[in-house]
Order: sequence, then C-alpha cells, then structure tokens
Amino acid sequence: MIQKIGVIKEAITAKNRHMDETGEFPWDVLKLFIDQRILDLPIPEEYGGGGSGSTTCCLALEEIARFSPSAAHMLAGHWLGFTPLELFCTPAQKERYFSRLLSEIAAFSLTEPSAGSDAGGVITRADREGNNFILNGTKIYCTQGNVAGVITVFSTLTGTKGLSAFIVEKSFPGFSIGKIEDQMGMRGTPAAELVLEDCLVPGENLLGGESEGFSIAMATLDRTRPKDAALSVGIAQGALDYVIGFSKKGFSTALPPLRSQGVQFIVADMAIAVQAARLMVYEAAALIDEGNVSTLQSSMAKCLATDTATRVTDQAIEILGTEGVSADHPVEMFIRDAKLLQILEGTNEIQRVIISRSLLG
Amino acid sequence: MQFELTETQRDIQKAAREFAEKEFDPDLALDLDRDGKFPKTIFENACKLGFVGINYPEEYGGQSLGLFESVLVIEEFCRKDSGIGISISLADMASSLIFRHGDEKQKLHFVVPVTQGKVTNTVAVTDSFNVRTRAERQGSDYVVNGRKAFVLSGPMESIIVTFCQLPSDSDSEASGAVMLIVKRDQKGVILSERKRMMGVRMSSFHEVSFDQVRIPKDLRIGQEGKAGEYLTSFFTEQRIKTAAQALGIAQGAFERAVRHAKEREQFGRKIGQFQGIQFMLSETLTQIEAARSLVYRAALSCDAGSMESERLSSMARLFAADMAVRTTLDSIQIHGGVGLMKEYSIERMFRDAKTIQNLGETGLVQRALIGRSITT
Repeated sequence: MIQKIGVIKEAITAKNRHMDETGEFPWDVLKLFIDQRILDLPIPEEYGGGGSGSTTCCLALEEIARFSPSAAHMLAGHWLGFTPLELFCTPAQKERYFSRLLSEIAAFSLTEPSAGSDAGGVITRADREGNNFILNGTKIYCTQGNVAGVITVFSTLTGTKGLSAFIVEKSFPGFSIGKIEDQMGMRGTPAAELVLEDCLVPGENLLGGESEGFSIAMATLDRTRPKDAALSVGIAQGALDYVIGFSKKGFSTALPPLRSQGVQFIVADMAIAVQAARLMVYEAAALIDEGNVSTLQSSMAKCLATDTATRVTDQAIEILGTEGVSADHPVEMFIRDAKLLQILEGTNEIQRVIISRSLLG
Repeated sequence: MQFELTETQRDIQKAAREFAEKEFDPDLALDLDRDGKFPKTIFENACKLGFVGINYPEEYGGQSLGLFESVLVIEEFCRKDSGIGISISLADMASSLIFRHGDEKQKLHFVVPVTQGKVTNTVAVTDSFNVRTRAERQGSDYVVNGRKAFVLSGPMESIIVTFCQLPSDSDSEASGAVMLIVKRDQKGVILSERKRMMGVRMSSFHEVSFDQVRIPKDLRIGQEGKAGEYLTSFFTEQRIKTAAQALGIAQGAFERAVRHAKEREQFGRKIGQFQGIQFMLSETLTQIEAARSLVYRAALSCDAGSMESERLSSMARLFAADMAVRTTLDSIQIHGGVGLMKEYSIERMFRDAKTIQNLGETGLVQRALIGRSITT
C-alpha cells in the first residue's frame, strides 16, 4: 500500500497549492484514489473494496498526510461517511450502497448551528409520511457534503426521543447544498451546509433503529477519531521531514543555523512528540481491529495527535523563520490544516470531557 | 515606579481606539486580506490625524512624543484589526533611521511626505540566499549590486533604505557597511513577483535585486562603516513595534473569544460557564497582562535611551509574539467551527500573529541574542 501511495505522491503534492488557493474540490485527486484502489480501502472485499482494517487505513492516512493533508482529509471524510453504514446497514442497504462507495464520496452530517459539541441541540426534524420520512432543517460543517453522493444525516424523529440516522442521497428531492465554507485549512475538502426542505427519504433508508442515532454517531466517532489522529501524525511527520530536508539543502543567512543546538533541541522535541502520538494512534487502531474498541483510547489518541500536529508544525515554522511563513514552503499550510483537526469530530475540549468522564465516572 | 498612563497617553490611546473603531471596517479588511491590498485611504487618514510618526518632532509632521506613544497606537490598531494595524505600523519603517542618523535634507525629503500620507518607505537588510549586497565607490557615487530577501514594499513605496557591505579592500575608514537611500523607481532596482505569505497580506513582500544602481553620496545615511551600529537601534525599535502588534492582536483575539464564550450556548449553558473554557481564558489574560508590562517597559527604556533597551526589546518581542500565536490559536479553539472560517477573522488574526512572529528576526534569533547577552 505504501508503494501505491508512492506512485501518486508527486501528482498529489503538485495539487496542494491549487487546492489551498482555490478551495476547490480536487476531482483529479479523487480519481487517483479511485484508480489506485485507496478510496475503497475499508469497504469489504465482497463489495469490491480493499477490506482493510483500521490500522491499514490509519497508515494510509498518515503516509498521505505527510505530503498532502487535504488529500488525506478527503479519504478520512469519506471513511467517516462510510463508518456508520459499515456498522449499521442492513444487508439490503449494504447491497444498495457499498459498491457505490468504491468511487463515490460518503459523508457524515451531525453538526447544526445550535448543535456543535452538544449533539443534543439537533433541531433538524424528520416526520413520517406513509412509508417515507420527510426531513426539514439545516446541517452545517459537513465535510465534503457538497461533493458526497451518500450522506448519513442525524435528525430527530417526531414522536420519538433522541436522534435517528437517515441515509440521504444527493439526488433526493428537497436536498440541496447551501453555503460552502471558506475555511482556514483543509481547503481542498471544504465543509458544506446541507439544506433539507421537505426532503423525501424512503422508509428503508432509516439507518439502525429509531432513536439509535446518538449511539450510531458515538460508535462511528470511536472508530474514526484514530483516523483523524493518524492524519495528524502524518502532518506532523511531514513538517519534520520538511525541516530535515531543508537543513540538508543549506540555509539562508536570514535563518539561525539549523545546526545550532537551539534548533537541534527543537527538532528532537518534534521527533519525540511525533513518535509518541504515532504509537498512541497505532494502539487505538489495533484495539479497533481486535474488536476491543475503546472510547478512551480513541479520544486520547485524537487529542494528543491533533495537539501535537499543531505544535510540531508551529515548531517547523519557527525553525524555517521568515521562509516558514511564506507559501514557497508547505509548513504554513500544514499548520492551518492541523488546526482544523483540533476542532472537528469533537473538539479537543470534548475529548477531555470524554476522557475524564471515563476515568472519573 | 509609575504604572499609570499620563493624561496625554490616555488621550492618544482613546483617539487611536476611536479611529480604529470608526475606520477599520471588518468587511473591507476581509477584502484587503484576500486581495492583498494596502489600506491606502485608512493610512492617509491615520496620517492626517497624526498617528503615523507620532514620535517625530513636530516640525517634521510628528507630535514630538516617544516610541511608547506609538506602541499605544499600534496596540489599539492591531486590537481592532490585525491586518490593517500591521500594514500601517510597517509603512514608515525607514523613517526612524533617517531621523536618527540622516541629515536635514533627507528628513525633509523622505520623512515628511510619509507623515503627510503621500508615500511609504521601507528598509532592506537581509540578503538573499548566497548573496552579498555590496556598494562600491565610484567617484562621488556608490554603485549597488546584490539582492535582498523579504523586502516589504507597497504600492506607495518611495524609498528602500538598503544595508550594503563596502569592499573590504578599501581603507579602514571605509570598511564595514553603509546604509543608502535607494529610490524605488530608480534604474536597476527590480522587484520580484510578490511573495505569497501566510499573513500580513495587506503589505507585500518581494525580493529586490540591485543591478548597478547608482546612488549619489548625499543619499548615504550617516557615516560609512557605522551602518551596523545604526541597525542595532533600528532593530531595537522594530522589535518593540512588532511586540506591540502582537500585544494588540492578542488583546483583540482574547476579547472576541470572551464575547463568543458569553454568547454561545451548548449543553444548556453559556460555554463561558464551563471551567475548561474559563481556564483557557484566565491563562490567556494573564499572559497578555505579562506581555503588556514587558512591552511597555521595553518601550519606556528605549525612549529613555537606556542600555537595557536592546535586551528588553528582544525579550518583549519574543514573549509577546509567542503569546499572540498561542492566544489566537486558543481563540480559534474557543470559537470552535466558526473560528476556522475566514469571515470571522480570528483565523486571520492567527495568520497575522504567526507571520509577524517570523518576519525579519525570529524567536530563535531573540533567544540567541538574549542567551549571548547573559553568558558572554
């Protein structure tokens, strides 16, 4: 797999700045991922996918994020969209969707203006109408919602308690894309607003049971947080790689000597932090593959690795100095990409709530 | 020891705050950042009201006040808008060099038009990779060849004060370096395509090449061989200005975080009522207050001509810039998703803070300078 990634490395790296400057979704990068059979890594083999576990997916994200965080985020977003389907689809739903997702983006949509950290604030509503559901409301910050074909949308179902999950296709009547966010990082994979106006969802597209939405969301996030963490490890490693490469090329008179001890110590600290985060991610991923999913380990890995990525990219800029804040080098983009990961899929404050709660009760 | 602002200083602070509130339109700022444009009209108005060059003598369009007062102005400007504040405070970079070491004619020609808002000026110190910018004497002129990196140069730029090495084989009086006033539109001065930068996007940065640029002797600042000395006081002042920018940005980012924490509700409460958020805010405010004390002290010691000012300026710049980067990152974090979006400007404050932290001198340079001053 690492070899497969090597094949497309150059082509994707060349797209980085275009993605960052335009904020456009890179369809050609998606095509590379489809052609190289990377997009389908977690999809079961019987549906034509790679059938890979969490560890393999994490390794792929880490490796790709080293040179293109946004491209890795495209995969992470797709895999986040696939995870609730993987866990809760009926056999009939699997038949309908899994093979589509070999080449079509899936997305996950929980957040609303009043429901960020607090998923209980969801006000999007679903009503029964005959055999169908009618969805109304606005979802925000849905990663790749504007390019996804299939989206798991969380909503309250009238007459029931809590959230329910619905499989929504972009072609469903009443579904449209609202605002596409102009965000500071991960600009190739923008967040989108989803507008549901009497959106007609067939009855068979309820995912899991009624009122199971919250546990579907949590089961999903337990499995995807290590992926965000792996992506963050890749960003941090990429920044470290870049600093090391830069030091071998020589340095401008403007920079403090990269061979000076002050810089050496920072490089050492960067390497320590990256390796610590990496091991924590591998552990969380291994637990998932063993069937021992741990909310605690997943949250700790996400928190540590995303905090590490922001800090290590910051240190990389510090070493590169003025060069580091120019767009001639990728590290100023890497730190903007890293910052998103401290917030999405549960802010790191929420991770700390989860971690402390599971320790203290 | 005095910790209160004087009445004049309070008036200046208030005037700067009111000016920024009135003139620094948030939508305009977003456009200027995206399009990389200098806030020309705001700069002109700031000059009219005397905010630019506040520390120059009145006969040259200033107000005969000190660096401390310009720190107050920069802080207020950057607090309201990081991009506009920084670009205005960088617009007269060369003026203080000309003031300290230039002659009467140079002051009238090159500083007064800046305080009138007609032009801006800049300084080029750092050579490009593997280049040495040199000035050779030819008759009564100097001929400059070389290339400078990351030179700030806006559309209103009139002059680039350029730091050049003199040939080492000439007599001892002439050895060392010299500082020359190079006109921006002079033959042989070539600006590279604009550098794409993470932040400070309302100012533009270029590599500037000098190809046989002929400078008459009367455009030399001060004496030959003294340029290194001049740079020391220039850097001291620049560091304090950078620290003031960082302080203002941090204050602005903090205030926005507080506002958001008091408005945003999750789990049935304002998020500011959660201790996790309170601790972030209390840490931030403590750091800002500490930075302010250090920056103000550095500025006062610079105005007093104290020997301490050089080292204090390094410490102020180091502490305030690092603090501003942390504070803006925390402000984004407290804002959550909206903090990541360009329309809310917090992410821009972070990009600007991160950029000034690494512009010209960096934190590593400050650490090295402070370290050297301690152990040698």
